[in-house]
Amino acid sequence: MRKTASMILAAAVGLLLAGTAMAQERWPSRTITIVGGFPTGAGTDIYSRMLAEPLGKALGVSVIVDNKSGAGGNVGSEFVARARPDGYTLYFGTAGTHAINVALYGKLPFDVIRNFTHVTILGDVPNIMIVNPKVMPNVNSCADLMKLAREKPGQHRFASTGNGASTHLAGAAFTKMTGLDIEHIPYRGTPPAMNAMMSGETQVMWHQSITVMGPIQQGVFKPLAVTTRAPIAALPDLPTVEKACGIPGFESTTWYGLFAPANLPDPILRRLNQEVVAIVSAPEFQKRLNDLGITPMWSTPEEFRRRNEADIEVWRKIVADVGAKLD
Amino acid sequence: MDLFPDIALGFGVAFTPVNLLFCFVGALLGTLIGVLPGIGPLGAIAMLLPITFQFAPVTALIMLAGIYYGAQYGGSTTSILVNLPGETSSVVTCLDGHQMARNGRGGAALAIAALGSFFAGSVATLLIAVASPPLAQLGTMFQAPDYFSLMVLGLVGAVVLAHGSVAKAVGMILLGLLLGLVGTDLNTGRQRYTFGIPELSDGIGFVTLAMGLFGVAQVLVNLEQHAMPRATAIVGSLWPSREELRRSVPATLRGTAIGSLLGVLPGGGAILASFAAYALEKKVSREPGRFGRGAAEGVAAPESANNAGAQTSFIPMLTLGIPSNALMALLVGAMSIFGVVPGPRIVEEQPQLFWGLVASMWIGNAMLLVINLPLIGLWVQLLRIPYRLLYPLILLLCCIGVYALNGSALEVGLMIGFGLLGYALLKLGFEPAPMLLGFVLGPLMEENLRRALAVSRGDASVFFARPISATLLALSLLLLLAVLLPKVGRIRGDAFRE
Repeated sequence: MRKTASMILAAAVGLLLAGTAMAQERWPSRTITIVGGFPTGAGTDIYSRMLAEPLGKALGVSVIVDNKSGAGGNVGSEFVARARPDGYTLYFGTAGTHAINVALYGKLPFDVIRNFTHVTILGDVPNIMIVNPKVMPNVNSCADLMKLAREKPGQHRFASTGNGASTHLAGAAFTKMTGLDIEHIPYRGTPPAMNAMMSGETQVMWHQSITVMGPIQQGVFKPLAVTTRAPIAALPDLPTVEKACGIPGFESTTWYGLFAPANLPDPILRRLNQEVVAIVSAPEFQKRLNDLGITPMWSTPEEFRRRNEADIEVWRKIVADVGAKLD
Repeated sequence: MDLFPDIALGFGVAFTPVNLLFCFVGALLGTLIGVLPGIGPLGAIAMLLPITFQFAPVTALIMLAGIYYGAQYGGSTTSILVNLPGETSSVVTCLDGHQMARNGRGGAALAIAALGSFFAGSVATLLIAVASPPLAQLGTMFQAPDYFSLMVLGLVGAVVLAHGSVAKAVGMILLGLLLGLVGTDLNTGRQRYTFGIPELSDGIGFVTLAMGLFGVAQVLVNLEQHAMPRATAIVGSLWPSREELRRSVPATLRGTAIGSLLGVLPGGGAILASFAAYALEKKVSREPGRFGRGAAEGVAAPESANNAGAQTSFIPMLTLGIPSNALMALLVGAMSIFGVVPGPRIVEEQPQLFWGLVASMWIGNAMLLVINLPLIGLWVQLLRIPYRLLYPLILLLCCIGVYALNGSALEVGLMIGFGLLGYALLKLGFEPAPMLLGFVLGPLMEENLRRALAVSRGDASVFFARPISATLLALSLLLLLAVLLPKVGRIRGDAFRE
């Protein structure tokens, strides 16, 4: 009896050891989790699910999405920063989680550069400056709006999807750089903010291109400018803020990118980068992203890390100029 | 308006075998998701979205929409059977629905909920077909002062919800308001009562609070009553009696009207629908004392309001491209991936899609009835499970449901804490429903108050200057007087007798 038990135990230990050895030599051999820092249904969630399915096919394992939302994405970031770098926990990060939050929050319990392995950038999310033509019938360009705001100071407001969100920072940078008196009114996410644009409670907004493409195409909102340096594929005729509003050097876009915990073994990193880049650069995938208003992008891990490091400084300056602070 | 050719076109699209199949799949999945507390339709739709890329756009939308309104049907099941509200709208269903189950009328409560939902869903679908543009305009007329006044009306209505002492109900509302303050302040980004815990920075989750106060607390209270052999002593006839039906019909009509109107209001409107419908029933009833003890109209009204609201919340999204809640925002995203652009021109540009979706909603509601009515017998059998097996099952469901939300063990702990609080409150004769309403409405009310004042630059007269806001405030005042006056009269009567 005792002998049988010990034999079973020995066999189990043997299997376990063999399993560990196999896992070390072959990645991936089990389910990979892409952690997200924002709630289900957010842009990050939609993109990560679009990515999870083909990535699972390419790697031959299932890839699932697990959102750990809270504190502007910091809850998810911290979880991944502390996870094991075994290639089974990945992070769908953004310029918000990995650059803006550094400036916005006094101190974070992790380092956005040193505690992460950068895999690849995934896309740029521009903000589009919109007005409601029913509320602002005479505004056909950014110049019209600026003229109106200058003639009637203190009578215009811009909506944002929350304090410190890209919609807030883009608008705040605009008012700061133009010196116009347009007041910031924060809302809890996209639905109430867009409704404020419908009811005329706010007159202008710099909304992320996702979810605003539909109302623009249907003529519900009039786009005035895009916050990128160059026009975007989804709205090729729309001028940049730099050009339309005459603000040299204006840029306010956020990116999406794939991360892993720090010290991800090099073979895993290379394979992951290669597969994800192949998926994102496929024409059909690019078209889907463009339809959502996301500019498809991909890079080497090094390029991605350098952009992240540079952006921390860019946003630190914007956040300091705007005077936004969270604690 | 040539409605009939349009509707015929819609049914032509919806009645193809593929679309019928996916309408059924969506409705069935929705029912299952609704029955499981915690996993909401939002999560389910997000998970299934990538799979639907291979479908035709109309087929995908028919299925995704089916999940959404199917979940509204399923949500009532756990509320009625085991007092577990999975979402905001099912809290009020617990009040009388679970009491009906305890009185052995669980089958009848489920049937009334299903029939009421079917009726409301059908009417709201008709509204989408004939009255979308004007209803969408109504939604866009609401500004911050109007929302604030709507929330005031809601809170005054919360007093009516309680069937005990008014003072205790007010106390519970205030406690709910305080709990609602936890989290990051929207205007300044400051943390309030979060004690440095990152999980609290987005506030306490509604499901965490509701499952603690209702589900866990109920189990604790029942544990004291050793003698009781099972959840309900008798499982009576599965079908509503003539008397129950007679009471439910007008309640369903009123609930449908309230739900349809509030459903088109983005943010907050839909939350109020089931509460408002319940409060109205209690107010117009000749025997308000029956509420909270298993009144059939207390199930019919909120369930139909909630379903009508779920359906009409498609209106702003379909006709303006403006999502009225997070789920609609997700559907807007889905539609753009399919190359379909929701907005004022969708009816002309994509008539097949628009009318196909509308027709499928009606078919889906009919399917839900067919799915749900036979299931009632099965659900009621659950009540025969002995307590010693049922309780661990309920607690397990609560834990899984809460953990599934954010993958946070802390929230499971919080839920247990709220369960203990709920137990203490029940023992002291306080009711948790007004507290939950305060919890939901408080933050919305604060947000809109501060926003209204920011927009008016500090001028408080804006609340009386806007017609919608002024009307809502006047209604609140009337309701408040109606609640207080009988008491005042009685006190005065007592004084004269002295």
